[in-house]
Amino acid sequence: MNFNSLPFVVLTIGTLVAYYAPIKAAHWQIGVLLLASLVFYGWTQPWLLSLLMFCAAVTSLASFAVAREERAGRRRLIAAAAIGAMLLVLGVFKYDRLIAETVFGARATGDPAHWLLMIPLPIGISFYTFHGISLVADTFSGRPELRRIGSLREHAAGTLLYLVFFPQLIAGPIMKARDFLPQIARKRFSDIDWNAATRALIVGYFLKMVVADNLATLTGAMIGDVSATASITLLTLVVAYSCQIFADFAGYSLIAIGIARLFGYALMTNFNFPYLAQSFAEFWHRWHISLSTWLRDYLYIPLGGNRHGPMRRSLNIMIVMLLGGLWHGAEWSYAVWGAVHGLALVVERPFLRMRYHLSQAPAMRVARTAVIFAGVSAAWLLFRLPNFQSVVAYVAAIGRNWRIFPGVETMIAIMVYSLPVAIYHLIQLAPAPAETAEPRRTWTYATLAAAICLNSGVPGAFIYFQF
Amino acid sequence: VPSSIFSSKLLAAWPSRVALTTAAILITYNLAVALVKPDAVLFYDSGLRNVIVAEHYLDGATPHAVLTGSSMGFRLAADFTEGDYLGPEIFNLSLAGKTALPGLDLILAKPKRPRIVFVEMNTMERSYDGSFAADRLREPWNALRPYLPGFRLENRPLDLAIGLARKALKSVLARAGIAASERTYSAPAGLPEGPPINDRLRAAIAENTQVLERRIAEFRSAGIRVVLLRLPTDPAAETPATRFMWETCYSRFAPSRYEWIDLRSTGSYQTDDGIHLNRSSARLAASVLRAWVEREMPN
Repeated sequence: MNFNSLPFVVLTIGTLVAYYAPIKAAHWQIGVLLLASLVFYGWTQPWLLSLLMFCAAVTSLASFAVAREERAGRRRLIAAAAIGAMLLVLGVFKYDRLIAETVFGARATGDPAHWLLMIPLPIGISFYTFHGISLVADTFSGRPELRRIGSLREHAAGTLLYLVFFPQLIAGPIMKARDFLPQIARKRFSDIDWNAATRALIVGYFLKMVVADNLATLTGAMIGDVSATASITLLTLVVAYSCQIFADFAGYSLIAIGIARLFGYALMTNFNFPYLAQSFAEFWHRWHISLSTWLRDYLYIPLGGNRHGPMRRSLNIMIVMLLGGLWHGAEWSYAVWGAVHGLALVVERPFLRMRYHLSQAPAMRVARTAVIFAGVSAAWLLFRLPNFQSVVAYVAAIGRNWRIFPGVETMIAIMVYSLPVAIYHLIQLAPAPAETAEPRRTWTYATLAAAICLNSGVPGAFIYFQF
Repeated sequence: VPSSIFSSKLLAAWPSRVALTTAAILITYNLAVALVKPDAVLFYDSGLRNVIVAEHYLDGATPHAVLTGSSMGFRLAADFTEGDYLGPEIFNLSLAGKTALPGLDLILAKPKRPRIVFVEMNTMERSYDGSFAADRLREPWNALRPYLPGFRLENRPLDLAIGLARKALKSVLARAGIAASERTYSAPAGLPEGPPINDRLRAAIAENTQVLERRIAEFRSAGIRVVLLRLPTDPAAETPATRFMWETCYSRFAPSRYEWIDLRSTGSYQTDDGIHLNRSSARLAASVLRAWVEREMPN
């Protein structure tokens, strides 16, 4: 069920009405949210619920046992077994094709390969398994926010809600258990922050439906035969895809944040104007923040983080970025994409203390931002194109086709539909508007809402759903 | 007492103001489009272009003649906004990436019918997309669309801005003497023969010819003249599939029983990719059709 579909709107409104109905039953609101989330997830493929429920059962039982168990060895064993189970689920259901093709060859023939290729990819599996790991790891490390665990029934309900809460279920933000579980409490309709929810929903839907969906129509030209496409068009398409993937995913995250606010839950900010970054390190502090902080907390720091010298730190960064790349998809090109970013993080580190990077002169800041944007955009080619051969062909066509006249209409369309992403970032650099600017703010948001009604593109699934 | 949706104020003040302002913008925009009738139609994507063309046909006046076809037929009106080679008497309902059949569905769905229908036969090997017309005719949008012009795809505000920018840029480039040169296809040496005929192709042609036979019967019973059209292509671009398609079409729709115009016999044509007519050839082909309509259907 897409966030921009009619069934989703009906589900959300119906759930809101039931959620805030004046019913005093202790767990009414949790029950309503759970039911809505399960309907949302099982809408087209109900059988997927079985795997989701299995993961919820494993994580709630394991985290409950870890919280109650006092012997350190057994706590460690239970936590390791639960985390291993989550990784196994992820490995079998997400990386089946990659394993089949890598182990059994490109054509992946034979019984085991055929069996692996038959396993479908459950939507959102990367997100809810990471939620499960977060819960078990946070409980194991004795996070103070998770010390107060009640009965198994209460804990299981809370865990299930944490895993399946529908605004964040299939594409995040990846909330950490210690941030989400303490929020579970009776919510009041009068406490809803309507202003924040409205802002998030309007900007989110605008980015997704007006910017990303329209750019998707244009960037479709990146796939297929590009041998006769003008170099300028190909380069512009790379920029367009950068804007599209940002608008798509940041839009989704904002919609999730806005809807969660309607139910009284605060989800973490997932994007902080990433294309303003002046280094790759800063980019990863601004892009998909919930994933990068998850990887930092549950992978980079346990691996040793910065604590064992520059060589080990570089190795840890490469491991984290490689696995982070693979998290995005079961293709080696995603691993290469992660490795490219990892390498950039390692290589740029010595330069971050140099005069070039420390200078705050506007021209230097613009130059650094442009360099990082160009690097990040070039790396997105590994995301957009289906395989390495396509990337090589695309880059070769850029180098070869400078004499071909670009399609004027396509170029203008790309610029117009990419412009909102640029404005969205640049507006952040402007001084904060005064309180007296409220009418202007109303007109701005109303214009965005009108654009959603008048200028939406062809509805498409969110890019990050596939991850 | 728990706060509930029934006991609290439904919306805070600011979101209400945003909603009212949004409604005001939407009403104003629709009124402005209805008054100004902008014509900066955009064609940067064939999928969007197909929808725009279909909506234009369904909501506009019905001309004497309609051409249905694929991107090959669409070339006869190289630029829908800046010059239609076919002129005002022939509406070009060609839909890129499709056969002529969805266009025929749209013609049948509109109460007022044309007097002549040209059916471009060059892509009869493609699968029939029956959902295209159904999507355009879905209610209540089909009934509301003529009264809410601001919500039509061709009137999307950002696309209108792009269309206007394109017009301005093109005129600047033209004044500077910069224009995309006309391409003429020449087949590379050793061009492979093309894929062999397969069952999927046979099935698609069989289905298309059946549907077309039914549609022609419906048109004829309504007094509409149907003319089958063959557009010229580069002989080097022919494949076993296209040869099989033409053999099947000529045997199912024999020239003795069906009216045909084979444009190959009307002049020398050039394509820019082996299949699509280049600009000057498209103009020539369109002039043949225009002359035919003037000759056969004088006002």
